[in-house]
Amino acid sequence: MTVPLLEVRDLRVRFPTEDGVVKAVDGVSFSIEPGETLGVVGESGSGKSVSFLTIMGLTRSRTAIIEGEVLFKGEDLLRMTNDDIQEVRGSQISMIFQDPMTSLHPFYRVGVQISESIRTHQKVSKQEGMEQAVEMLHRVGIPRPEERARQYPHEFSGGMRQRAMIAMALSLNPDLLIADEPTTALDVTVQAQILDLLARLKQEFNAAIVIITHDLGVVAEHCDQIQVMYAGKIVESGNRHDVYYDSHHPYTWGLLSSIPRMDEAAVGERLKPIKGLPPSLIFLPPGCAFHPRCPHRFDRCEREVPALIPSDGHHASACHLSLADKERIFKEQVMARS
Amino acid sequence: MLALVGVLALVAAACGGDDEGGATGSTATGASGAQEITPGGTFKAALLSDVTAGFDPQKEYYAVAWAFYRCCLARTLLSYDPNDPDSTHLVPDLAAADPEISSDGLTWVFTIKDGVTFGPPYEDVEITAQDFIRAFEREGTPEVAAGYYFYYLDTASQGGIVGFSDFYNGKADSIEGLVAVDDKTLEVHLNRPAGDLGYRLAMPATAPIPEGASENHVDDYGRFLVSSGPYMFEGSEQITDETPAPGYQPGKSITLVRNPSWDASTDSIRKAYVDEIDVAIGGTAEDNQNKIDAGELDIEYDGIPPAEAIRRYTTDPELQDQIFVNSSDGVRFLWMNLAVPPFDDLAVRRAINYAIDRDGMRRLRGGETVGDIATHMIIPSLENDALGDYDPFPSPNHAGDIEAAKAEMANSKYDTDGDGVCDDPVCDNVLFVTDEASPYAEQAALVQDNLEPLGITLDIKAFERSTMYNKYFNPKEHVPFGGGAGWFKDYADAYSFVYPLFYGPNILDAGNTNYPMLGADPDQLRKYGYTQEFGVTEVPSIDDQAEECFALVDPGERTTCFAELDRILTEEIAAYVPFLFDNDVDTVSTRVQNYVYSGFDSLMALDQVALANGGA
Amino acid sequence: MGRYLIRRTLFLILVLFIVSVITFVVFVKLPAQDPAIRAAGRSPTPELIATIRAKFGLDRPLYVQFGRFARGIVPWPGVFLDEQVYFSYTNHVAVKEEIYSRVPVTATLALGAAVLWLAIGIPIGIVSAIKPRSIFDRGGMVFALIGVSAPVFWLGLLALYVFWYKLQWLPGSGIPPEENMIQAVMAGRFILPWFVLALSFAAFYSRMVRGNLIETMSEDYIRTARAKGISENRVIFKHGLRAALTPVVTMLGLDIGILLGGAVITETVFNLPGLGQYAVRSLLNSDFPAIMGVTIFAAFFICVANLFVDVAYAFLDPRVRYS
Repeated sequence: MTVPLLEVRDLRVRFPTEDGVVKAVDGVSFSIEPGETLGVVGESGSGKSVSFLTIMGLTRSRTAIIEGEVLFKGEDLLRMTNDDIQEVRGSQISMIFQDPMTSLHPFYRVGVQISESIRTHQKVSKQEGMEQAVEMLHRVGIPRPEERARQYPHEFSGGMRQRAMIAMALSLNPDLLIADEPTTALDVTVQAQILDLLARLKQEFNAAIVIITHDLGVVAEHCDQIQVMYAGKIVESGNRHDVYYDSHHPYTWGLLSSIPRMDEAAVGERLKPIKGLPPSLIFLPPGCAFHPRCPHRFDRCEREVPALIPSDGHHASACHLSLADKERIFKEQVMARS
Repeated sequence: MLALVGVLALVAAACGGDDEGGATGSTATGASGAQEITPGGTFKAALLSDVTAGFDPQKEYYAVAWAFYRCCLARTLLSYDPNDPDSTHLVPDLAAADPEISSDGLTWVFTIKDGVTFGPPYEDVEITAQDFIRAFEREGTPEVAAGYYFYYLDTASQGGIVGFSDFYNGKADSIEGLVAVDDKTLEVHLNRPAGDLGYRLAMPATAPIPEGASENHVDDYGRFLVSSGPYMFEGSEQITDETPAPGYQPGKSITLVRNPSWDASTDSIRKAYVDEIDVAIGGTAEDNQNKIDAGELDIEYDGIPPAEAIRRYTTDPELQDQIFVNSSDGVRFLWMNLAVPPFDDLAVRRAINYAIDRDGMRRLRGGETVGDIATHMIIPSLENDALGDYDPFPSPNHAGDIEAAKAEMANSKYDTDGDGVCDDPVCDNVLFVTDEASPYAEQAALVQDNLEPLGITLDIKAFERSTMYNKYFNPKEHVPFGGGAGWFKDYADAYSFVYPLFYGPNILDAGNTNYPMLGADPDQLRKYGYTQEFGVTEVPSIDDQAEECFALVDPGERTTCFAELDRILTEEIAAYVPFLFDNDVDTVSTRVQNYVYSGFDSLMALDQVALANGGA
Repeated sequence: MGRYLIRRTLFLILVLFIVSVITFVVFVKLPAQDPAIRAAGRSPTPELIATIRAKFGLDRPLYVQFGRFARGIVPWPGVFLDEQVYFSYTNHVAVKEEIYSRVPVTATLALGAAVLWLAIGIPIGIVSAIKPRSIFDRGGMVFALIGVSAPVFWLGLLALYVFWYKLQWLPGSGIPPEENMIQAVMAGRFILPWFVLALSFAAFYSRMVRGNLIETMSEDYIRTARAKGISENRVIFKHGLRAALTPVVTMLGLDIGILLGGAVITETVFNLPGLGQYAVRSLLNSDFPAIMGVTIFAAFFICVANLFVDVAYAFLDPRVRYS
């Protein structure tokens, strides 16, 4: 077996606040192989963004309590010095964010910002850095890249900005690119373009990609592995087929059922949202965090926290229901809709 | 900080800002003993505010400007020697000798000294009789807006220069009564005898002006001033029609240097020990006092020191020879409008004169150092102290006698039951207009306290000084009762008190200084609305006595006459409540020697002062 | 750009016009002494007053009087504050001449203080922002409170008393007439005024920088910058400050513009012959041409400062570039 590129072991991130301690990430473990695409799905507050920001060492709060291990190529990122982790960021692990308008500095030209990324890690002249920036812009499909490099972010359209961000993130050929809600701020037509671009670039640059999103539809086509997160934990993980055609967690079923559908059978049908609200991360429900909203709960769910247990090599879920029950309910209620 | 004394000295000179004055010095207190005097050095003075009319000698009616003229810039036919213990004594300055006066008193002939020339840039021009005439003509030119041209008018009530009125009114293009018989002889013809003419010829507006110097400077001659005294504005040699002397920077500084044309042998009055006089304009009284203490400043010229400094200097034996207290020849008073009830009743006015705590008023201003209690209006020096201990409204320690006041009030028509308390509504909320600065506001509160037992209540309104004076000056404002006023003599004759303050015919539509409307005739009362509003058709007058005194020529007779007028005014008219004969207080630095007080302007004489070791 | 400037210049003249109208109306309504009487000296006759009124044009209807002043509003050499009309009632000097001779003092005071308050305020603001709620931040807050609360005249008098009178480290108030600005600065006469004037601004700017920087540092592009692996120092200074200081520049321009109209209290306490002192004197003396002249001049400076600031802002923030 190859050594995983990134291995996260029991990551916990807690934020003390006036009202109590927020358990944003509550025991998350997973690994990513080189070149793999991982999709991380969940609502806001599920801990999906915080996990990866913490991995990058970018949590804003000074008072955050971080536990666990994050091994990147064998080294624990959480225990690195500031200088070392600054080395890693941008050159080995890159991250792009949800809103490219606010994520790019409004006062500097786009080409300069990309060039800065390069020059932070490589001894390269301004001119060379700019040339490389232009090259990157070309590779992400931006026409007339020399002209564009000299423009400011506000002169780009939404889609182009995101391309520019991607260009910046890939400029040093990192091993891992984390994309936090890369398409959420874009309109639908552009979304597809960006996802295709990411897929193409993944091939070209041979990078592993993590796509964080709340939209199940986004990860359907491009991801090798998918993680579903709820209330700071991973509740289900598996490949595309596992999650869409054989899912084993009531939350995932809820997500699947609530996808609006355009085919005939669905016309006139009401949307089926998951009942209830996500829990407070300060006062988590006892036992399974999802149980207050789960139509299939029983008394064990209130007492015992379900562990993430694999049902086969690549498919795991955190639910007390028996495997037989899970498959049955899935067939009857979820698949029945399709 | 804003004790910008006499700042709005629009009404500067004789009217009461804080330090203005005129005429002769009373006690010229000598300076630091009899020390060796070495000439030389630069004397450093400070002024809180600039002079009021750009140093134009025909316009300036302000004591500080007058001080600079007399000491340094503008010699006149007759002048005063600050060292002379008799401060009414005029000595010839540019005149070669005392004038020859004809037996009818109508012609005065002056011989001009030989060999006196103007300062640069007219250093080759000898001063002649024509140059004096030029000054009078400038004074009599309406566009110049001269400060006190009225002193020279020949009118029915005033002895002035023949033809001056006609010249002023544009009916003649020269002054008939001024004749330059030759270069060195000047004849002055009067329309009636005027014993005080000499004083009026000692005022700076009569100083000679060389031909061509002032023609194109109707508004701003001050910066182009040609000196006839021991000093001049620095850089005067550069003066052209366009270029003023750099030595006077309006609002910023005055720098006087020696006038090379001045010849000490022609000037028996001025010592001119110091080489240069540097005056900085602006700043605060406290800051300037600190500079004096530190030796960086020699005197703060136009204010009195902060009360704390007065206390310190008078009590510290090391500092006692650096503080000088002199009478500034002025009186501070309350005044009542004779045409506004209840002040149209003599009994009320006399009652008030009994009730006011004069000593308290003085204490609020700073205590004994700031002056003597005044019991009559005309300052003692102008009456030769003829009234002595005159105190027609006596009280223990001048603190007021309320019982006596009530006794007077009982005689009033406004006290119907005769209990000494006014019971007519006119005594309620009487408007009292005063100055908002310290100590006037505090004094107003004291007055209110003093009058309450008489049943008189006050509506006190305090204003910024110039606004207050605006109201006083306008007869139509009908101000009933005023508390912020003072009056300082223009020169050493009581005329300069009586004519502007008490004389009916001199009640003016604007700039009126006869606030109580004393001597107003029925036409005037109607003209200014008093008859219509208050039903007052006549007020008391001392015009007859005044005219009697004006006509006298002999100084001794004049003094006696004016003293009697003062007595009548105080007891029988009582339109005023005088409370303080004002003192000027100066603190100086340690290097100041030969401090001599000039009674003419109530300031230290810059032409007499010296610096220790010649300023080294 | 050219059209923009022309538009702004026309707007400037409009503003000056409005300012002059307001000043004129206020002055006419104020119970100050009739300038004709003031200029006429004591005991003036009605004829004299009438002559003077004619000379000052005070006998003409108000709009005619105003018209005389209005001409002098246009900031063109030869026309601006023309000497005929703008001639001081009190010290008989052309207002323009006075203003020009005083501008160097006020400019030295304003610019020197600006340098000082930036040098003090910005670093304090940065440190407070980087270490919020630390002892530095709290210290900065105390400094700001003192700086903003201490009245300038009190501070000035205190400074003079301590540093000049007691310690004799620095010269006292005033500038001797023979010294030009350079000599005065070398003699140290501006040191106390600079500090006193700068203190409250420094306090204000430190809070502003602190607030702006804290806000900026929570922006997304800062997160991006960190994600690129840039050192924290560079993130703060090149990314954070660059955005945080832009509003400071605009404030600075406006503050200097206003100060150039005269730092009234500082100039009075330290007896510096600048525009502020002139404005106060003119007001106390009801010297209308001088008041009008100074007001228009100050308004002119503020408008120009505004213009500079807008252009500078467009220069600094590419999103705002005018077309």
